[in-house]
Amino acid sequence: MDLSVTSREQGGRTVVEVGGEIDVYTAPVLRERLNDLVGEGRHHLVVDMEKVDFLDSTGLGVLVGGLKRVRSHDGSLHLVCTQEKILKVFRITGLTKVFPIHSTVDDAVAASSGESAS
Amino acid sequence: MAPPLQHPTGPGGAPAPLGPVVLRFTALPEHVRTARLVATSLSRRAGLDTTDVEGVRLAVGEACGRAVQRSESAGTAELVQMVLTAAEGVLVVEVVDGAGDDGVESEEVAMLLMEGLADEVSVSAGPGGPGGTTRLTWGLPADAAS
Repeated sequence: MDLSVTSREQGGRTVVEVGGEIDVYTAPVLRERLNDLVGEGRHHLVVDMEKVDFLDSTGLGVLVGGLKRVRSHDGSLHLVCTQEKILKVFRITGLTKVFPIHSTVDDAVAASSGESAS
Repeated sequence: MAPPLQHPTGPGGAPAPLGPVVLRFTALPEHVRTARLVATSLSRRAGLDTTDVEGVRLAVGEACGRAVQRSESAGTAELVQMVLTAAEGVLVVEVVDGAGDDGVESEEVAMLLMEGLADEVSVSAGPGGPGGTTRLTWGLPADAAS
């Protein structure tokens, strides 16, 4: 498996650090982890994409699914990404308008906390 | 029309025509990464710059992922075939599946990505029916083509 997913708490938010390749093969693993987190009541997620080397449309689908899921619990999903090749994927598909994308985890946690105190 | 045979490439030298390189694989998601690696390697050899190589990596992944999902959905055991050729200043990647018309419906994001990354994208019929062939092309740098 060329994907790693770990999570930790920071500032009342759940930071999900993803590494490796998110593609048609590995995306179901990420979907399951996000679903599990939401199922455990973690509705404010910060997904750190800085160690992601590859992201395809299946991966985008999982992130959009995660966003819908947390929003149905009045939650939020923020992304951390500065890699041009990954940002390009969001840009081409118009998803930069859907996801708040930040440069650092600290920024993302602060923005997430600012918009809705939990 | 074909350029005269030149010395085989060195890094930085003008690449000679490459391919065809053909990969056939069982329509399973885990093989899409292998297809990406093959396409990435060939596009680098063909002289594409880093940004375009990343584009090939993603667009070919989308084309192969699409073929795998169509094949799974149609329940066909036909292999997916990818053919790569770099000649006359153009890199062509063709991905063919054996699925018919009853393929997957939600391909819009994959299409958006392929259109955003390749110079040209076309979807035409494959052996199993409509939509089974995805053709992606990239123009090669002029100094590499001459």
